[in-house]
Amino acid sequence: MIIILSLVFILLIFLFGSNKTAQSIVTTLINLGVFFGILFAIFFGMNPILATIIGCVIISLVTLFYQNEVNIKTKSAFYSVLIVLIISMSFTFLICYYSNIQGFPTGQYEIRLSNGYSDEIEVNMMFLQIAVILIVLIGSAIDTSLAVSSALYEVKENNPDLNKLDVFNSGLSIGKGILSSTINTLFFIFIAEYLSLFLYLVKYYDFLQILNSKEFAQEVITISIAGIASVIIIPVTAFLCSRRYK
Amino acid sequence: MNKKKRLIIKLIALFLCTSVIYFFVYNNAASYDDPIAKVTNIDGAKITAELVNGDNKGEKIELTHEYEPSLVYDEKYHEGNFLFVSYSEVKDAWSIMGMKRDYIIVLVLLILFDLLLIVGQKQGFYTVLGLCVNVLIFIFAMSLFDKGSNILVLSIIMTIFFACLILLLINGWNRNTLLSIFSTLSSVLIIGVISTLVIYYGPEISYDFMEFMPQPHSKGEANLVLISEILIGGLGVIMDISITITTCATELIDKNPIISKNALVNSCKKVSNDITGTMINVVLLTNIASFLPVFVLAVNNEFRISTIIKNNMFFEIVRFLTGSIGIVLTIPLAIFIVTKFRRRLEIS
Repeated sequence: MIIILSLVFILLIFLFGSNKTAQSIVTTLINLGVFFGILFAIFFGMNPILATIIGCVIISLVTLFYQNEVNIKTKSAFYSVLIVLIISMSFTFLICYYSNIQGFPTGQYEIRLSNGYSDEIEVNMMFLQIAVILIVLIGSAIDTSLAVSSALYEVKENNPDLNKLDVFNSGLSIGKGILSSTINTLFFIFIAEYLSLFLYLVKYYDFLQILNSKEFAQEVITISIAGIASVIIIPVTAFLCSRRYK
Repeated sequence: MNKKKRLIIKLIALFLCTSVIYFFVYNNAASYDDPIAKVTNIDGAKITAELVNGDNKGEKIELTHEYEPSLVYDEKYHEGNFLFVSYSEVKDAWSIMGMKRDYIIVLVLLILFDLLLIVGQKQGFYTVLGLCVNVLIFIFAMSLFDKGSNILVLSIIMTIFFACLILLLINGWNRNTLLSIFSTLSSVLIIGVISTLVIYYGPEISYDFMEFMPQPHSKGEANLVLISEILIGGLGVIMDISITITTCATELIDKNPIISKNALVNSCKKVSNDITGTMINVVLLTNIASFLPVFVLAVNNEFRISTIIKNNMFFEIVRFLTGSIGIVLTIPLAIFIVTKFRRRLEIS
């Protein structure tokens, strides 16, 4: 199935896409490679958080600078992503520390002790959960940041006498426009990813049990933190751009 | 100055609302029937906790809790956590049943909503409103599923509902919105048809590794769940692209009513090219991230890497591919619909 769908995908790109779309396939492949790089680094004993941060920075570098080009727009977006990555990391750590959303619920079908999975492994699952959240949020953060910084560049280009505050405010209003679609994109991907989980939960649990369950908390917290990061990045990018665009 | 004052009052009101809601959820133990205890002290495997609801409220209890340091299935508690506990008369001891997480979920959601309202203001409010309504629709659909409705039928209805509601909220009732709804739904329909054909006529899919599938299930049911996932998963990005293109196109036509078809198509293509790459990236990262813990656990248990990827990553990759196909497909489709619509306008 994967092969057929990939063929359809590539065919469509040849039919409708441009060079830039083709370039985005290369970016996607590189990012997929980086993702496996993170997996293997953790497997070979690297600290999961460190591996993920390095991975996220590489993903940002590739997505911003390879796919687009090195200019003041992508540079500003890159710095904003870094700042938001640092802010979100500390927040994510706190939430994960208190909420115990790491690892797997005992009810999961395929991964459990009786299926031959031992839980005596070297890696702490809490750090892995933080890593998952960071990887989810980096994608939407890059997307939002680049959208704001390149639109702001056009604004500044067309109205060179705008002062810093004006540029900042205009960055916020550009951000407002794209906020909704980013949040919805995340929301629908998550609903789809966990559709079978929801079907499972409504079948076996009641409402309060669902609300307090590890599976549900894991999902809602991951998507919400990704959402939070994609909101925070709007003022951060607007601020950086208002300082840097001259 | 007046504007600034109003903003400050709004912020304070928002902060107060948030605190009140959080305070109520944090202290809602009384609304639970099961006994709940708050962890006051942890000493190795020994946990001291205080009951916070029920008849024995305030009583100190002793709990024992052991966990594997990897925390794959186990939980590690901290002071201040709330635990569901139960008392066994036979053993004359309390044991831990689970953890209370509702207040943490509410906290994270409140922060998200507050930020949306502060940064997005009016649009942020509509986003929050849209999310809440969508969640309610989703819960309603799940309860219908529980009563035996067909999951695919529910998903198709939900998809149409979600698309109309969100696009109306973002854009209001106008020509743009109608065009975006039309191109979104046709694009979702096409990826639905493509994936249905591949699922039924392509190589057989093994659903043994689909997470959380209620057991036992038939192949037909699992197929329907997969198609539903593909439809809903693609919806977000497809909406994003269609709205960008239709807005851009109508903007261009409004500014220059005699713009040639080629120029229009080219401009739309340029705009969409700028967003396609990062969009595909978002779809990729969001879908595959949850694979990380599965991979580490499986590799540590000496499963072959190719097996893990083939089995556990299969559905993530399928959703990524269908989502990306949706992105690439929506661009020409939306442009086509916009130009079609425009021609009809000119004839009349």
